[in-house]
Parts: sequence; structure tokens; C-alpha cells
Amino acid sequence: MVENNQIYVRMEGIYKRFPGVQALKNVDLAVRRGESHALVGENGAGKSTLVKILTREYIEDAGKIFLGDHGDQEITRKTYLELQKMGFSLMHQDLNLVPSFTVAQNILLGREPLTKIKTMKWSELRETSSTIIRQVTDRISVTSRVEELSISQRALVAIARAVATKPQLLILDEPTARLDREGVDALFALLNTLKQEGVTIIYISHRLEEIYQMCDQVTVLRDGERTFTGPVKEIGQVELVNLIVGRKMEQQIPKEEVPIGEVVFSVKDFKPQEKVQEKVNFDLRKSEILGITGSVGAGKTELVRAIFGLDKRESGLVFVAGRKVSIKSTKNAIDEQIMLVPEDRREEGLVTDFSVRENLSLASLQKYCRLGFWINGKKEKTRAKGLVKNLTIHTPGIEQLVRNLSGGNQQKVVISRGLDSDARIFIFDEPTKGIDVGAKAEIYRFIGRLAKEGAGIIYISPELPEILGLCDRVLVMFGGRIMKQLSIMDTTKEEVLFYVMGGEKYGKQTVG
Amino acid sequence: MNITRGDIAVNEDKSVGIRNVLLRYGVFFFFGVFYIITGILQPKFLTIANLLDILEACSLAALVSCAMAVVVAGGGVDVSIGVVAGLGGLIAGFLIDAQWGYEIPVFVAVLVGLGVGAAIGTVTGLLVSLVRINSFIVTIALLFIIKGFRYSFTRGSSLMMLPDSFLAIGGGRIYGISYLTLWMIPIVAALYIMMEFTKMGRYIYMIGGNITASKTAGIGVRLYTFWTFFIAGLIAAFSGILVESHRGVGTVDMADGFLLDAFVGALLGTILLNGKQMVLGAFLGAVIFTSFINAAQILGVGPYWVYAIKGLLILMAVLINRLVSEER
Amino acid sequence: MASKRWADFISLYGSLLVVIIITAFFCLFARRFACWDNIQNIMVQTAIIGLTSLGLVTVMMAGEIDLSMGGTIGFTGALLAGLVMQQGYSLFSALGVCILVGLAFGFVSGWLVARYGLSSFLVSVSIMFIAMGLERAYTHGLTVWIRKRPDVLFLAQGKIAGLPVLMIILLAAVVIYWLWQTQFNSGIYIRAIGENIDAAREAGIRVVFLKTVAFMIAGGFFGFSGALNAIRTSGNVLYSGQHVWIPVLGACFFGATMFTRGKPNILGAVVGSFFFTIILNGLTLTHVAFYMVPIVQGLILIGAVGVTAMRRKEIEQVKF
Repeated sequence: MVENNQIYVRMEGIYKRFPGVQALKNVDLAVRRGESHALVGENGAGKSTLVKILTREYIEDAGKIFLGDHGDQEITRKTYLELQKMGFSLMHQDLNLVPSFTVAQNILLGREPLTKIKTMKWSELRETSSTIIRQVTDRISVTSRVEELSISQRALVAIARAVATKPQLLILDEPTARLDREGVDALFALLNTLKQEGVTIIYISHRLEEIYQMCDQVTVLRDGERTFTGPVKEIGQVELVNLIVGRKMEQQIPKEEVPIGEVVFSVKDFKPQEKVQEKVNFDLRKSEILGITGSVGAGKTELVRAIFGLDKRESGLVFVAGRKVSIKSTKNAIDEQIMLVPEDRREEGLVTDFSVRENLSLASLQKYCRLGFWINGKKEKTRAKGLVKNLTIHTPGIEQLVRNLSGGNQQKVVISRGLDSDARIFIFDEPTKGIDVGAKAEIYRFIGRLAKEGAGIIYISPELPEILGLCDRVLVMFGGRIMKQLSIMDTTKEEVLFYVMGGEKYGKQTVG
Repeated sequence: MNITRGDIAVNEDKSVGIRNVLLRYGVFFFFGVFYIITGILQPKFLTIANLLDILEACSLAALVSCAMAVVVAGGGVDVSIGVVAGLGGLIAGFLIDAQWGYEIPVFVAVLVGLGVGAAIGTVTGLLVSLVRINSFIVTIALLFIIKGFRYSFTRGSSLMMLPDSFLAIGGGRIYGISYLTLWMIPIVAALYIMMEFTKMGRYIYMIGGNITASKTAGIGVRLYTFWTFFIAGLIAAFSGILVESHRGVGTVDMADGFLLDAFVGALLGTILLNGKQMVLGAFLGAVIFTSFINAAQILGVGPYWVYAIKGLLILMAVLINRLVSEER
Repeated sequence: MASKRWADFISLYGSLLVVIIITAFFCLFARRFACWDNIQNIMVQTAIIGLTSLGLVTVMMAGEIDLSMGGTIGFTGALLAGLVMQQGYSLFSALGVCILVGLAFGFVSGWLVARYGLSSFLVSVSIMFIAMGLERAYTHGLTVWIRKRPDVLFLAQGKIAGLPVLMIILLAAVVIYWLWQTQFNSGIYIRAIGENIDAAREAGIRVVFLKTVAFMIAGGFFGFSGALNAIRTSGNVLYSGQHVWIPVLGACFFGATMFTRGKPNILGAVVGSFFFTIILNGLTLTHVAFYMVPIVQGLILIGAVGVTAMRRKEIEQVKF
């Protein structure tokens, strides 16, 4: 047990509920001064929610927060502004930058050096922000506008902004999610410096390598509950993963052995206009689950969007069951029985202000129309009820607005839409992002079933456990190229990771 | 996002039920009360004759409000709806006005007028869906162009010698029901049916709701966006023909006021029914604000307050809607 | 790729190029277009729309829209004429009243939108109607002419040191406002709010307060330009705001396509306001029929904006 006066901040008994899901249940978190405390868990385990409650972006349903420094001062009622003055600083998962402002302006937004009449001191702004950002990188000019920067650079600016206030408690929410190799190194260098200066760090990540590299303590959240807190040194990776996931990893994804058939889909010399640097070639077979993995910015989404007809392509041919098809629009793709379940279900997949029923029939409405234009309401309703049952979509009814469903159920709606359109080739783009474990399992089972019934499936995910557990083969992408095509049975997690990080040829070296 | 306790929906188990009913009918309740109070204060308000008057007065506003609702449902706006109406009527009238001596059957002239509306709707639709210009700007630009163009052939003079066969289109009553109303009802009904029961209507709603999701689902978003403007142009032109026929005279700016009426009706409509069933909402919106104005006149409130009433109406509806949804 | 960079360039500067080309065209082909007298003329003609668009663009930069000028301008114009001619107010106090009325409207709109999250479109449209109603009630539908009051008319029709007063007012307003917007932190914060309200909030910017201020600034501009408008026309014409709000919207939207990749900005709004007047002025000097003016304005607007829309990937929708 740690003595109270060593604890810097303490959260007790935090509860938080969102529509459809209990995000946090009786969670405690105690962070000691100067320590580097990791907060880990799967997507949707509650990590972001917890720190957003800490920084008062969300208000908890129950629980208290204390500052342990001067004898348990309760800070539950404070606003984020007040907490900032007390030394808190959060680097948001969404970065929260103003795109048309310069890097300098963004770093010091709200804290700019001003003259007595409140005008900007531009050169001082530039100098001060330069000093701050040079802690992470030399490559970014503070006079460039944020919208001109790459995603990785923007993440660095967000980090610079977080440390600009010389915080005593620095909270980083998935800081490496958008960073490239260099950025990650720069971040770690910075964090080491801060640790030496005694800054307390809360570090959210689901990348284990980073946790082991950077942090002293780790708290594991699973399904909104705290399952473990302890020193990083005293727990092995496998054990940690088990705590995060709850069961043995291999068991988590139900994978049936399904005989793989002939080629049902192939792309030749395919190059989208965006992101992807080389021509891509691959085949997809009947009942096969082909994974595409890589870190953020590798080009996975851009590739499938162009295949599906959402984005333009520069060149290439697409074949369905050996027959050359021309996909100039998404309608063409759907007519060819290809279906995309997009990455961002709220923005790209669902019309959130409308009902489950209306969203379910969106891709296949033609089927329900008499004379080509009159919607057969009864048929639509019956079918909708059937689909809801099929994937156990938890909703009070088919008329419920989709926005009121939980993430997992929203995703099921998008997936069912594809089912309804008689698709034989499915492309799933990170379908389990931000979804609770129960729904994830259902989705895995469902995909397995789809494969069994003969569909060809492309499955995009940056999460190696998913890829390794679910897929038959995997394409690893990095920097817009396919680095390697691997058969899951013949490869290891290390090899896949190697190519994910950009390695060229996997040899004797192993990645830790 | 700043989410506080108050914003989070309470039990999802309850949500289709009491809350929805309150949300849906709260504003109606308010207007219903208003009708009753006015009726008590001034019984003339609730007579059949007066109600028919209200219907007549709101017919054209209802037409353009519903047309605007279709465009808004699809995620656009049509600021030119007033001048398109005027132009359609003007060109139709111009062809048959005795001043200019073209010997054209009324029927043909009306078709030409409608054609004008369709043509402008086509241009708007193409500019928005293919060139991808914001519909606000496109329709503002068209507003300018039409305002200039309509002077070029009328030179500002009015059309005052319109044949009786033309005046008969919008200028009579049967059993007390105005012809305007008789034209309005089937058109509004057709629009309602289209939006609620046909594939096109469903696609329009979905495109307005989330254009990216619609695209991912394979809907031809350009095509249906185009149609919204085409339909609006057509209906606007017809409304212009009706107003000209009803008044018996064609002036250059005769339908300019339609724009504001369309806004009020369509906006009230989105508030009343929470963005659903927009044609019905726009229709009710037009009926409601026309009733308010009628009530004001009957109660002796000066004619000065027409606009103020429209404004207050929208404001009140917005506030009531917000108050009710705060409880969600 | 060369063609991509061309497309980029045109989408950024297309509108501005169009304005420059048109102005150059008139300089060459319209006699007396480029002479000093005419330039003053252009300034005066642009003044009302220019001032109003400074107000509108503020609200747009804060991420909202404000259509109330359709009513406010007419109402404050009526107020000015009425107060000065019929109720014995001095010009100065009448102007003050007009600006205060504008501020009040702005406060109401701003508060409802910023504090309660109501749709700015709906709220501002209702304010427009209410203001029109007030205008009607105040004037009983009659025009109040400003006659025999050179002291009043001076403000919009007179000259100081050879320069029209309106021109001075316009230029001064633009310069001062532009300085405020780009140099003072409050001005800069308003833009931050419009672009990423979460970032602004997190930075400690008082979002509700500043948004309300943005609407109040707009209201103040509307009130002021409404008063000037009445003086310029030597009397208020009923619902004169109705002639202004659409061109102002056009100017601001058009201006957004210049300088800033689709975001509303002051310089763009000002150039946009001049754009309409330049076309009017140039065409008049080349003896083109008066009705051709709006036609040309509309066509060029479409052309300029269409060119910048080339880069867009998807249809642009209007959200309420």
C-alpha cells in the first residue's frame, strides 16, 4: 500500500453510463507523484472516458476525485480550466487543433503573449513556441499552418501544446496513434526528460511495447472495470494481455476451419489516387478471410475505398469471379455484390437521425420496391425485424433512431445492411473499433459464419491479435505499399509486426 | 464535446414512448391552444368560411414551402424559389397577354411557364450536383440573373391583359373552396407520397441525413440531389402561374415574397415534426402561420404585425422544441 | 503532378483572379472607370454592403450564420429617419440608438445560439421577421424623408477634404476591423471557435461569451449600416433591408472562396462586396442596359465559385 501523501491524484468509485453501455463501473485510479502510469485496455474498455472525467470533459455519474498533494483536496467540482492552472494537461485523442492557425498559434492557444492592449506579440509567440516544439522535433516550422502538416506532425504539435504549460500532470491519450517512427522516438525522448524532471504522466495506449518501454505502473481496464494495478516490471506481456482481454487470446476469436475455394475476387495493378504508392495485386478466395494490416497512414483504407468505388483510382483492374468488372461508382460495386463496411460508422456508414429500419434497407431498397419506385413498407419491416434478430442487434425496436444505439449495435446495423444486399464479397474496415467485447465476439462469429457460407472477406485492422486470430492470410502495408503477403499459419506475430513497422525483409532479427 | 449529465439520454428502454410523443406533439399542443383561444375571443375565426379563407391564403405558401422542404430534406437550399415562380408566371403570361399579340393557346403558355421552372431547376441541380457549388451560392447567383433577365423582356411593365381562360386557372371558387386550394391539395399530397413512400423520397432524406453514408450504400447522390432542385423549380413555376392567374395581373416582382413564405413554412415544418415528414411539416407550417395572420387580422391587430408574427412564431417554435428536447 | 498543382492554385486564387481580371477589363474598356471620381463613387456604392458584410462575416467566422440584417437594416433605417426628423433627436444620439438596437438584436440571437445551442439559421431568420414587423409598426408603412437637414445628410452624402464621408467610414471600418480581427486575441479567438470549438474550449477560451459577442458585433454593424443606408437614400424605404441581405450573403460566401480555402474571412468579404459594385459600376459606364447588371453579377459569381469548386470531392450541402 502506498502512503497517501505520495499520491498525486486519486479517483475513487467512478461510475459512468452512456446510452446502451455502462462505460465505467466502480473504477479507482491512484497515481503517485513523478510516476509514469499506464492505462491500458481494449478499445471501449473505458480508458478515454476515465481521463475525460479526470479533466472534467465528462461528468461522472458517481465517484470522487482527490488531489493527494496537500492532504486530500477534493477536486471533483473543479473545471478543466482550474485544473490546468493546477498543473493538469491533456493531450486529446482528437488532437484538438485549429487547422488554419499556425503551429505557433496552436501551441499557445489561449496563452499567447500579449501586449497591454491584448494584441499578439508575434515574434515572442514564434520564439516561445519554437522552444517548446523543439523539445519534440526540429522539422516543423512554427509558422506553417497546421492544415499543411502531415498527420504525424499534427500529433507532435498536439503533444507540444500539451507540454507548453509545463504541467505537473501530463495525460496522453493514445499519443502514438498517429505518429510515425521518428515521432514515436521523439515522444519517448521527451517523456524521458519529463520523467527526470519529476512530471507525473498518465499514458493511455493499447500498444504493449510502449508500455513496457515507458511506464512504471499499469492499470488495466476491462469492460469498464479495473482489473489490475501494479508495477509494470512485475507482470509479463502474456499475463498482461490476458488481463486486458479476459481470456486466453486464441480462444477469444472463434475460428472454424473452413475449406477455402476458388478465387472470387482479384485486383491487378491497382493503384488508388490517394496514399497508395505502388500498384497492388492480390486475390481473394471463396470462404477466405484476407486481412490487411498496418499502422495509421499505411494506406489500407484508401486502397479499399478505391476498390469499392468511393474514391478515384489511377489505374488497375478488378475481377469478380474471373470476370473483369468496371467499378466507377459505389453502385457498380454493390451491383457486383461487393460491400464495404466503412471505418467510421457514424460518419460514413449510418444516417444517424433515421431509424434502424431505414438504415438497414439503404443499400438494397430496390428490392423492396414495387414497380421500381413504391416502397413495400410491410416487406421492409419484416425484413428489418429478421435482420435485427439475425445479428442480435439490441434495440427497442426497428423504429429506434440509430444514434441511440451503442457502438456495437450500430456496427451490426451497418453489417446487416451488407447482408441484405446479397453481397458475396465483404470488406470490413476496422469493424470492431470502439466496440465492447460482447459485441466484438458476436461480430467475429458472424464473420466466421459468412466465410463458412462462401463469402470472400477482406478484413482491415491494425490490431494484430484480431488479424492473427481471424484471418487466413494477411497483406501487411506500410507507407502506401504492400510489404508482404503472409499466410497466418506460417507466420508469427513478430514477423507480421516487423513488416507493419516498415521492415523490408524479415530475417534473424526479432522485434521486442 | 462537452457532455454533461443533462445531455445523456436516459434509459433507452423508455425512449420510444413518452418522450417521443411529447416531442412530437408538444408544439402542436401549443398551437392547438392558440386556435382555441382565438376561437373563443372571436368566434368568426372558426367559421367554415374563414377556415376556407385561411386555406386559400395559405395555398401558394404551402406549395412553395413544400417545394423548399424537399430541397432542404436533401441537404440544400433554394433562395431563388421566389423569382423562379415569378419568372414562370411572367413568361407564361407574357405569351398570352394581349399587349404583345402572340396568339398562343393558354395551355401551351402554361406549359412553357412550367418548362421555364424545370429548366432553371435543371441548371441549379447540375451546378450543385456536378460542379459541386454550394446551393446557397448557386441559388443566390440565379436570383440575380433572373432578376435581371425578367426586366429584359417586360421592360418593367406589367401584364394586364390576360385572357379569361388564363384567369380561370386560379381565380375562382367552387362550393367556397378556392381553386388555389384545389390545385394545392393534390400537389402537396403527391409530394408527401413521394417523400414518404417512394424510393426517391427515401433517398432524398438519406442524402440530406448523411451524404457519405448514402454514397457508401450505393445511392446515386448526384442524381437525387439534382431531382430535388428540378422538382422545386417546377413547383415554383406553377405557383407563379397560379398567383398571376389569381390576381389577374402579372408584375415583375409578383412572387418575390414567396421566398420568405417558403422559408417560414419549411422551417416551421422542420421544427414541428423534428425533421421527419418534411412535406407534411411544411404544409402545417404554412397553415399555421397563415392562421396566425388571419387571427391577427380578425382580432383587430394591425396589419403591421404580419412579419413580426412570422418571426415570433419561428422563435417560439424553436424554443418550445428545445425545451421539450432538453428533457431527453 | 503539374495538373494537380494547377488545380490547387486555381481553387485557392480562382475567385480573386476573376475579380482582378474583371477590374482590369473595365479599366481598359470603360472610360473614366479608373479615374479618381469614379473610384470614390465605387466606394460610396459599396459602403452599405461592405459594412454589413463585415458584420455577417464575423458571425460566419464564429461558425454560425446571421440573416437578421434583412430586417435590422430596414428597422434601424426607419428609426434613424424617424428619430431625427420626427422626434427631434440629434444625429449623434439617433445613430447611437440604431447601433444599440442592433447590439440588442445581436445579443438576443447570440445568447440563444451560444448558450442554448439553437440553430442560428432559425433564430436569425425569426429576428429578421421580427425586425421587419417592428419596422412596419414604427413607420406605419410610410417613408420618412430626410429633407432640409444637411447636417444629417452630410454623413452619407457629404465630403470631407474632398473624400466622400461614406468612403472614409468604409475604409476606416475595414482597416480597424481587420486589425482587430488579426491582431487582438479576442478577434483571433472568434475564428478559433468557428473552426474547432472543442479546441477553443479546451484552451480556456470563453466560447459562449465570444460567440455572443460575435453576434453583437454583427448586430452593431447592421444597425450602423442601416442608419447610414437611410441617410444615403434621404429617407427610409420600407423593408430596405430586403435588398441588402442577399447581396451581402453573396459577398461573404464569395469571399470565403478567396484567400482561405473555403473559410469565411474579412478580406474576402470586403473584396466580395466590391465585386458586385465594380460590375455594376463598370457596366454602367460601358452603357450596358441596367438589367444586364445582375445577370452579369450572377454569371460571374457562378463562374468564380464554380472554378474553386473543382477541387471538391463531394456535393456541398447546407446545414441548418
